[in-house]
Amino acid sequence: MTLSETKSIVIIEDDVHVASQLQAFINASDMFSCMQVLHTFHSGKNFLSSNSPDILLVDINLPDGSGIDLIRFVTTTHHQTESLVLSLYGDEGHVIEAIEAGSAGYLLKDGNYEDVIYALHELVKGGAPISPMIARSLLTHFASIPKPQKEPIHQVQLTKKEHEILVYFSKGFNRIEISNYLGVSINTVGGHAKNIYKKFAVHSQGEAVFEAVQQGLIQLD
Amino acid sequence: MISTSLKPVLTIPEQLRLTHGECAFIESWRNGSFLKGTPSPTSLAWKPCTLPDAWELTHPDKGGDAWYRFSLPNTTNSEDKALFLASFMMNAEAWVNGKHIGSGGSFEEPIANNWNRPLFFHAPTYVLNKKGNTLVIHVRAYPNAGGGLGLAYWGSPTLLHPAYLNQNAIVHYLGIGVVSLSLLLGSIFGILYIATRQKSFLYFSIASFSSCLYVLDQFIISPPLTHLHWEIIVHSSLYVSQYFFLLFMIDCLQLTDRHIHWFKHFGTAHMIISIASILLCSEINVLPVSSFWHAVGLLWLLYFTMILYYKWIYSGNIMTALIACAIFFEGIFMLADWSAWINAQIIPPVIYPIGPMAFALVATVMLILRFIQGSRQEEAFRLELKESLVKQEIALKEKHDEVIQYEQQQSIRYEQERITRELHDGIGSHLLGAKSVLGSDKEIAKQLIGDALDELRALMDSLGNHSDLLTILGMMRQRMERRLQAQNITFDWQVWEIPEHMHQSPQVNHHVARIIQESIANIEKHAQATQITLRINQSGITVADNGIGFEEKHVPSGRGLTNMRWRAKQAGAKLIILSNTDRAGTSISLAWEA
Repeated sequence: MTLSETKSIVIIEDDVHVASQLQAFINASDMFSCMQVLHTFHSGKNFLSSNSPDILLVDINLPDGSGIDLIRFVTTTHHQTESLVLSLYGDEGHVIEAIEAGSAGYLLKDGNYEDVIYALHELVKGGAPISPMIARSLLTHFASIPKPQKEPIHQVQLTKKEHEILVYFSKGFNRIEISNYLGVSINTVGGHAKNIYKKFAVHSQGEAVFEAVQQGLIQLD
Repeated sequence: MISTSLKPVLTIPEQLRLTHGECAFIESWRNGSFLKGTPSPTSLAWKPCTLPDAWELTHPDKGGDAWYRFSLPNTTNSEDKALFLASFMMNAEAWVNGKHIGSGGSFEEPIANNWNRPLFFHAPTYVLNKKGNTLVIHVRAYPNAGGGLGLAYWGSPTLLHPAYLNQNAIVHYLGIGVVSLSLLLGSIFGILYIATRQKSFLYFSIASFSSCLYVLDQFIISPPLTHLHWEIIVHSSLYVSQYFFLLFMIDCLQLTDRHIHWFKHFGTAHMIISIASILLCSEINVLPVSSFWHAVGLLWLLYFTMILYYKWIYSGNIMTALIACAIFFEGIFMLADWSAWINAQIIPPVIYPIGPMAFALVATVMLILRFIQGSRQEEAFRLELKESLVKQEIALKEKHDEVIQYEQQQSIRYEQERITRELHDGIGSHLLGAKSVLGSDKEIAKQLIGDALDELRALMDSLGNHSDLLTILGMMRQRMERRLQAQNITFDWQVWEIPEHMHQSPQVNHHVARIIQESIANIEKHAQATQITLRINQSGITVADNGIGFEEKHVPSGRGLTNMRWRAKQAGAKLIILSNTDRAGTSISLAWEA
C-alpha cells in the first residue's frame, strides 16, 4: 500500500446515520475516499465478490447476517483488504471475535472525526488499533492455549518482544511511550500489534488455520 | 430342708414333752444390768408351773434368772437321754441330778436374745439314776424380751437329735444364707448406684444392708455392743429397711399418684417416730414399744399391698403383681416374727428366713427386668437418634445449599444494585441533562449524550470478566486522552503494578477507578494543570497534578471528596490528600496496609 494514493473504503453498516456520518468523515479527508456504502450482508458480499477496497468497515450485527462472516470472507479472498469492525462500545467480546476472524481491529461507531481518521491512518501505516482490554485478553489467550502437538509453527507463539508490547498495552501505555521504553519506532510498535492479531487469528482457529497456512491460503508476515 | 425340719419337731411324741414342774424366778436384772455373779434360789422360791412359761405373762417387766425343776420319769432301760430345747429367747444351761449337762448362749453381758437357737444337751447314762432323776434348767433373760421356757423335750437322743440338727441347720444355715445374700445384694446394688446414680438402687442397697442386721440378731451368740444399744440398733434397722423397701418399690414402679405422695410422708414419719420412741423409752419397754410399731408397720404395708392390687387390676402391669407378692412374703415374715415374739411356744417359725430372701429375689428379678427393659429402650433410642441424626444431616446440607444459593443471589443482587446505582448516578443524570438542554443548545446536548455513552462504555468494562485494575485504567485513559489533550493536559503514565496489599475484586477495582476518574475530573475543572501523573506501583496509587492546589476547608462540597473517602474505605484503603495553595500541585493517594 503506498501512501500517495487515496485509500478506498467500503462501509457496510445498517444504521443509516452512522453510515452517513462515517462517509462524511472519510470524504472530508484527503487520504481516504468512500467507495461504497451498503446496509446488508448480502449486498455487501455481492459487492466484495467483484471489488477489492483497501479498507473495509463492517458492522457486527447486520440484519441478514453476521459481519464477522464478511470479515472472514474478505480475509480469505482479498489479501489486500484490511477490515475493521464497527462497534458501539469497543467491548472486548465483539472485538476479539472480529480479530479471530481476521480483522485488524475496531472502530467506535460514535467516534468523532479525528478518532476515525487517526485510526484509519494507523491502519494504513501498518498498525492496528489495540485497546488495553484487548491486549489483556490476548495475553490471557496466548497463555492458556497449549502448544499444538504437530510441528510447531514458531510464528503462532508470541515473541518475547511481542509479549512485552502486549503487557505494556494492557497497562494502558500508548504507542509513543512504548516506543520510548522499548527503543523502537512507533511504526514498529504498530506493526507488532498487527502481527499479534494475525497470530491470534491463526492461534485461535487451531487446526483448521494450520491447514490453511500449510496450503498457503493464509499468509503470515 | 424345710419339710425335714418340720417333721421331726411335729413328730416328736407328745409324751416326751416336759409340761409340769417347778419354777423359781429371781429378778436379778436391775437398773439396766444383771447383778454380778449367779444367784441361787432358796427353797422358798420354788413354785409350781406349767410350760410354756412366758415371762411377759407371768411376771412382766421383770428380767433375770429362772430355774425350772422337773422330776423326770423313771428310765426303763439304761440308755442315754437328751434334753432338746426347741426355741428360746434367752440363754440356758441344764443339770441332771445336780450334774451339769450343758449350756448354750452367754450368761455374761452382753447377752444376745439368742432366740430360735435350739439347744441340745446330752445326758449320758452315768448321770442318770435308776430310781429317779431331777432336771434343772437355768435360764437368763432380759425383761420383756420373750423370756421363759417354751418347748422342752426329754427323751431318747435317737429321736431328739435329728430334730435338733434339722432345726439348727435351718436356723443356722438359712440365717447365714439370708445374711450373706442381703450383704451381697446390698453391695451389688450399692455399686450399681455409684455407677448409674439411680435412686432405686440406693434404696434397695440400704434396705438390704439394714435387714441383715435383724437376721444376724437371730443367731448371734454375743452381740458386739451392750444389750440396750444392740437392741435399739436392731429394731431401728428393721424400720429403716422397711422404709427403704417402700421407697424402692415406689421408685421402681414409678408410682406417682397423690396418695402415694402422702404415703411416703407417712412412711418417713413412721420410721422417725418409731426410732425416736425406742431411743427414748426405758430399756424395759424397748421390745413392747417396738412390737407396737411393728404392728403399725404391718398395717400400712397391708394398705400398700391393696393399692398395688388395684393398680394391677387396672393396668395389668406384671411388675405390680411381683411387688405385691414380694410384700406378701415380707408381711408373712413380719407376722411370723411378731408372733414368735409374743408367744414363745409356737413352732419355730421357718418362714421368717424365707421372707426377706424371697423378697430380695423378687426385687432382684424386678430390677433385672427393669434393666433389660431399660437397655432395650436405650437400643431403640439409639437407633432413633441415629435416624434423626441422618435426617438432621440431610436437613443441614439442604440448609447449607440454601444458604449458598442465597449468598449467590445476594451477591448478584448487590451487583445489580451497583449497576442500577451507577447507571442512575452517572449516565442517568447525563441523559436527563441532555433531555432538558435539547432544544436550547444542540452542541451541549450532543456533548452530554457523548458523555453518557462514555459512561456506558466504562460500565461495560467494569462488567467484563477481566478484573484487572490496570487494564480498566488503561481503557479510561484511552477514552479521556483526546479530551485532555484538547485542554493541553498530558498524561504522565506511570502505571507499573498493583499495590502490594490491595486485593483486587470487581467492586474494589471499580471504586478505585471511580476515585481516579473523579480526581481527574476535578483537575480538569479546577486545577488549571498541564500534567496529570498517574503512578501505580507497589506502595500505592497516586493521582498528582501540577496545578494550583486547594484548601479542603475552602472547598465547596461539589468536589466529591466525601464520596472519594467513602469509596476508599470500601476498597479497604486510606485516602491521603496533599494540597495547598502555597505549593503548586495536588496529590491524591491511596494506600493499603497489610
